[in-house]
Amino acid sequence: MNKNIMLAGVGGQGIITASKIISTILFLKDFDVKKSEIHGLSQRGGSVTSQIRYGKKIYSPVVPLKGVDFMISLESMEVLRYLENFSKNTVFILNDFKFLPITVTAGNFEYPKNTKDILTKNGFKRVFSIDAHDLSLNKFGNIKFANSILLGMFSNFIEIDIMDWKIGFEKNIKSKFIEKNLLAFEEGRKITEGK
Amino acid sequence: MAKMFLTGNEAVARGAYEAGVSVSSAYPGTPSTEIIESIGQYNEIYSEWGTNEKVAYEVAYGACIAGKRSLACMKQVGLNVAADPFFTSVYTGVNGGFVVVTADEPGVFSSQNEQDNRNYGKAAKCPVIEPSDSQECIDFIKLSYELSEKFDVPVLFRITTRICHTHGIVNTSDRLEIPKKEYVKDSPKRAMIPVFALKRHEAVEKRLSDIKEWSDSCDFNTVINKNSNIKTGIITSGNAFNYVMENFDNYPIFKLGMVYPLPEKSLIDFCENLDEIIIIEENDDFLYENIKLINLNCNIRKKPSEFIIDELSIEKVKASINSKKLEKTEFNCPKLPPRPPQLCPACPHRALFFLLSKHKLKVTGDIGCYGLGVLPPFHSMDTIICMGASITMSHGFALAGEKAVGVIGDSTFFHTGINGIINTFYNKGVSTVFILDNSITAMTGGQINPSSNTLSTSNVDIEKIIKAIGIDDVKVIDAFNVKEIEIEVRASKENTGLKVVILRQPCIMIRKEKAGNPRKVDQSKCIKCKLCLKVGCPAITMQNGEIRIMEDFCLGCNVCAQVCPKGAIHE
Repeated sequence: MNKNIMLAGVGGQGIITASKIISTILFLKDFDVKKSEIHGLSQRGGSVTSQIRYGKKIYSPVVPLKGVDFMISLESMEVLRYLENFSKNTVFILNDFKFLPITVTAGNFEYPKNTKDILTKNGFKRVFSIDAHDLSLNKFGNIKFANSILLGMFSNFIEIDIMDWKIGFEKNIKSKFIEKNLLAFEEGRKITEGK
Repeated sequence: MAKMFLTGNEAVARGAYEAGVSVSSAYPGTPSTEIIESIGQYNEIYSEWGTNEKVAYEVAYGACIAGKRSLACMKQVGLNVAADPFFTSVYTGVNGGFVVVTADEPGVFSSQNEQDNRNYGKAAKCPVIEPSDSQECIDFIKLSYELSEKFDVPVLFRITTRICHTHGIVNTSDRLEIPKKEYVKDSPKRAMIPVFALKRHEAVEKRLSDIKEWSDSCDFNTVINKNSNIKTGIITSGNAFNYVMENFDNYPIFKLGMVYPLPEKSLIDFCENLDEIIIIEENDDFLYENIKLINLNCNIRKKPSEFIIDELSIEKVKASINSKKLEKTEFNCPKLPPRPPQLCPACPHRALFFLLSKHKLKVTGDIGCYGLGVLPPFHSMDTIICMGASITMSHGFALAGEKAVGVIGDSTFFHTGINGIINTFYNKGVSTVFILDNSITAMTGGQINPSSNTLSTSNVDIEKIIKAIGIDDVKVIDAFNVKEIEIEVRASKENTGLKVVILRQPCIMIRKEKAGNPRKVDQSKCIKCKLCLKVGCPAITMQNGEIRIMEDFCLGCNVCAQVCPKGAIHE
């Protein structure tokens, strides 16, 4: 059975690295894998997504509608842009951190009040949310480990060995940052353990 | 054979390496840029950034005629710039194999139009190859060099954004070392004076019909489920094939890897026992229009016309084949604030766009990050057509009695802006041109250009060029100096000659250190006039009624502080 992972966030948040870590592991586990993202203008602080599909044989690089199995949102409201991609079974790993877009700071738009509520209202109930920026800042003194916390939260839902995750980190992150990122990963793992 | 996980672009580079390519050139452009960047890892291949696509094409083509396998890469609109050498090189043929990659953009993620360059292949009578994934990028590039040398023809290799930027698993091979072919002078074949050109046109027509015949047995095309009981067949190519396989992998499928010319006999065979065929292709109905010309003896359908616009999807393909409408689900969700991309903190383009907006000038724009000047909060760009068009259209505006300033970047200036500025000067035109010189080709991720300072390339000084043309009214200003730029913006309204203003500061991508210390807002002085929000800096936000500057983001360019009427922003 093919599985689909989607990551969403804001250009510059590290979405490419996070999706590289996941896809590297799946590649090494001998799945057929496709990872698709759009480069170019959207890098400059715009909305960005990355899609990873894996299984026996993958054709389309783009996930079908309602086809996302795992949604990892690096920012709170960004997840709401892709509602048509989700089903009742989608597992959401949500960083409930608000990165205000210019349309909000300029006073033209209101930032949605509660992302998790909106998801639930639309029938998407498997939502695991946390302010990962806040947690990263408190535990590690820097917001830079937020994505590793989210990957840790995600790791309980996918059958990948902890050793393989380590390899994924080692292959995609500068060696001096690996240790702290793995600690953050463990921190995230605790949050969704047994869920 | 090693297994790797490569994007289509990286796979094209890998294919070129394995095919024994020796010379490559390109001008950066999304979604093609990473091909040449990836070729950089192979010492066996010389690669360079050309100043524009025509230049890149001709450099690579020169190497091909001299005897080496070579490669030119560009985005879809880049082939418009290189169309001149492209068309005639089909007449003059190859010596070493020659492939030109066009990276098209169904969906227009980072372009100014959605043109379908398969049409160029037909117009130029050049074979067009279209891969469906990273593995085919490698395999088809290698086959393309064989095709190129077998038929003495350049090959147009068409990829699209989803192919370029999708990672897939590939099996790689060793490099084939291709010795340089002997160069033998042959002017009747390669020096296209009219009498020779007419002769070569004969050769082009003959060759096209030879390739057509050969295409029936070539390795680019595949038939799947030939003996299926289903009486509807699908003809498809490129990424559209992937969408077809998601739901219709039991149908008889003719997958075209060479989309021009078409394998007529094989297509007739394929349709022999079918009631109808449906053609699934992204953007134009290129295959449909050409397949219609073949006597297939069965009903031919195409996707709904509205799907010519934007990229295809699994759902659109399903709707096309099943003749159903697209379903749309409604959600209970507030209207989301858009999140447009923004100029980076300390981007040297910011001050100019703030001022162009403030003084409500007409602006003929160009292609680059400064395209963001169209968006809020600036709204200060009237036209964006193509590279170089800022300078020339500003001259045209003046001829029609409207005054518009031209805004262009350094890379774009060297691309085709330089021709325009010479034209305005020599025709005694009236115009103010702002050249945003940040010493790098920024929007595509930071490729070098003649304005860059590197050890391996020579630096070209824009100011010296402008002066050498004969333009005396030229100024160089610090791109962060709001006051000085404002003087020039104001003056442009009264300008009666040709004036060039060069705004200089490096792009933040190549900055070694911050422009200055992070700025802070003195809340006791701030009157919340929100003027600082009009500079459109991602580091400045309004939270709980207070203007704040995010220290982590601010790179200290000081533009906001100069804009503040109360002096409330300081170090």
